Amino acid sequence: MGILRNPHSYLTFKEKGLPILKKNRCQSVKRHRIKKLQNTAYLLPLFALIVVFNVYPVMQMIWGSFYKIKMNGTEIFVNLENYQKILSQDYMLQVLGNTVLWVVVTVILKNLIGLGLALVLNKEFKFKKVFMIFAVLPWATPWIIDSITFRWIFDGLYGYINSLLFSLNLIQQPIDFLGNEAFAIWAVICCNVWSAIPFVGFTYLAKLYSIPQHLYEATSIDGAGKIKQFRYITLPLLMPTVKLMSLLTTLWGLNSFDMIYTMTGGGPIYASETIVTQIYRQGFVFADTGVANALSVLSFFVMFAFTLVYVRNNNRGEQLD
Amino acid sequence: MKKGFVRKVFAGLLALSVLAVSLTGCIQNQGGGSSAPVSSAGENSADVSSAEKQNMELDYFHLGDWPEPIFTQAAEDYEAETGIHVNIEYGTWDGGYEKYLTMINSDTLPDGGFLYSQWTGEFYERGVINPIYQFGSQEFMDDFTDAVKESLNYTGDGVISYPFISSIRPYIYRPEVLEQAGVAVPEKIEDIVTVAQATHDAPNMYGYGLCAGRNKYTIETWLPIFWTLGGEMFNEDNTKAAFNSEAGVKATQMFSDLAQTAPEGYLTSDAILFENVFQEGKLSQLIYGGWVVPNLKNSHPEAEYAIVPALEGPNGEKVCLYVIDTMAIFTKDTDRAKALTGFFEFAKGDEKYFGQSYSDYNLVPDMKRQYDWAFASDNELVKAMIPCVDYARQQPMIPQWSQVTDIFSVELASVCSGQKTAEQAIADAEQQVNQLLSE
Repeated sequence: MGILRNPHSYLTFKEKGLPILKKNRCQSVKRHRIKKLQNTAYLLPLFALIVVFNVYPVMQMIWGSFYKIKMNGTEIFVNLENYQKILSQDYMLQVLGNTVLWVVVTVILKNLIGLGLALVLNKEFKFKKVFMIFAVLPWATPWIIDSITFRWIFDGLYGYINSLLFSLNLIQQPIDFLGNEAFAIWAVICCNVWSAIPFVGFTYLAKLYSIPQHLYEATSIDGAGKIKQFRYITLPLLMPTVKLMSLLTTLWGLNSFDMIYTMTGGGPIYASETIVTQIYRQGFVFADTGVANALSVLSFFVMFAFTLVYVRNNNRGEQLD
Repeated sequence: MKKGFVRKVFAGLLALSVLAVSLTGCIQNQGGGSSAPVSSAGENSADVSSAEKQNMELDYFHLGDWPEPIFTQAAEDYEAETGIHVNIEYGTWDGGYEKYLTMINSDTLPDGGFLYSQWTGEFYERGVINPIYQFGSQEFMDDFTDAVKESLNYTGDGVISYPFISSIRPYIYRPEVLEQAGVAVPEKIEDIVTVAQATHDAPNMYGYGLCAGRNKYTIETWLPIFWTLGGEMFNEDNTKAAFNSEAGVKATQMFSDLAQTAPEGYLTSDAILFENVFQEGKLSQLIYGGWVVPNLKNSHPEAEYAIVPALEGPNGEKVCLYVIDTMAIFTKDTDRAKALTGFFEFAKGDEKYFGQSYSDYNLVPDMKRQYDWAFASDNELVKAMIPCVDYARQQPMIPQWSQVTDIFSVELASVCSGQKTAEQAIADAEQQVNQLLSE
């Protein structure tokens, strides 16, 4: 049947010429449009969910940042007063500084140590699988458990570190690690980095597995050592993953709340307070949703800018590839 | 072709329905906090009929789960007697205020709930509390002690909520520890610094129990010192801070001096830190609730303790912090409010439910009838604390008290850590509190 139909359609096409070709093309374009519409329809539920759970709350947040809600529920339009209030607070500079420190240090440490872990796991060694299971545990444990565990490790009275230092006769009085303004944020950074390393490491490992071995073999024949192989093969091919991981860890860093709140509550004083814990404090302690919204808006635009830079950068990378 | 068409129609319908449902959700949410509360019945409905009672289910939210067996028994008995079922949910003290704010903003408040008395002013101003004096029996309310009647009378018309339990914060010390250190039992409030420094021998013994984390306990450990020194938090009509005074600075300096002898971790902890250290027998003195004493005796039966209901100020004045935990009505439905108030009276007024707890936790009576209960007549510690009620003061019930608490937590911690002097901290706190009050 197919053999018979094909010559027939060919003949009909040839006999009737261009107009039919145009008609066929029109039909094809129409079919293509319908297909596109159909695909768009498939996306509509997802779009609706994004509207409800992302766009709508963001709009509400921006809207709310220009209002002050009084205790009796009355909403008063205050223009930019909430933003002015944020900038006028003495401690806000410290909060911003803490946020930058927190994000920069956690992003660098997570990616460096994660990459190191991936490079180690990319080698063959005895008990590798057992090691991998243990390596993934910090990520598998809920973050709240990690935070409580680290709080106990650093606890001023009953902490493991104090206990160890006592048993080694290195101290005569316990050290209040979490109550120390200089150290508190570093204790939380330790916990945060420790929990995230497996995810970052295993993501890098997955990418490392995908790098063709023959590239290493070829450069090895050309006399390239391990460092040069890492510099000219591993790193360039890992770059897209490095960019993605940097973006993700930055966004997670900017969003981190649970660990800081559980371990230090942002204290002592403002020593470990970041923008997110400040948003919580403004919203739930001071019940000032206007200022909390304004802080959220600022935080949102910072995160949005990071995402935009990543997307632009990533597209350029793809074009280069 | 037909199959493709069906698929397209299905996809289109699915998309439209999800969009419609989602948008409806958004639109319905627009009302926010202003929509009607949980109940739907009219405000002025008549007394609850027996038929309605049979089907009535009330929701009550309590912070802390220790009274669960008591409430369960009381709720069962109340249901047997009236046919009204009371569901009681328990939450943790930690983050209780945040839980309530979430419930208020999402319109999911139960019919009633546990509130610290210092929250009641704020919650009333938010339009959350339905004052209980409208629903309670006069005979029951007349039985409250004068201290309760005065403390919980926010509107001037009667008690805004019922007391759940009441406690005072006496001065508790370990006589043998003071004796070993060669210091006398303090009489004046200033003496506790001398005792703290003399008895401090960390990590075996700490001189004083306090906390300066960002929680309500920080101001609760500062206030008794401040009041005893003759300080006042606000002016008479609570519109301006009055704590930037000699007493305020002195109390803050004392707090900082005492903090140097407090257990490590006080800058980020709440009361649980020094409660635990006291229980371990490693704390020589503190001003706190009487419930810590049984814990000490349980873990260290040989340990001695003694209390001074209230230490004297420079001019001989005595002040004691009075803490009332309350049960409040949130529902705007009169029938439900009456029914829940009935449950409160049923449980609160009967010795068989709460009598033992008052004794276990060394609480003080908040109803006249309780003076005849065993805990008040047989428990020596409670008997010693009862006179304190006469000069006890509770935290101000101003609507901004939670925020004032946070401001003080930060400022007190900054003095303890050496960032600010007591004068600077009190001046900064004054500025922030005045701004808060002016808003």
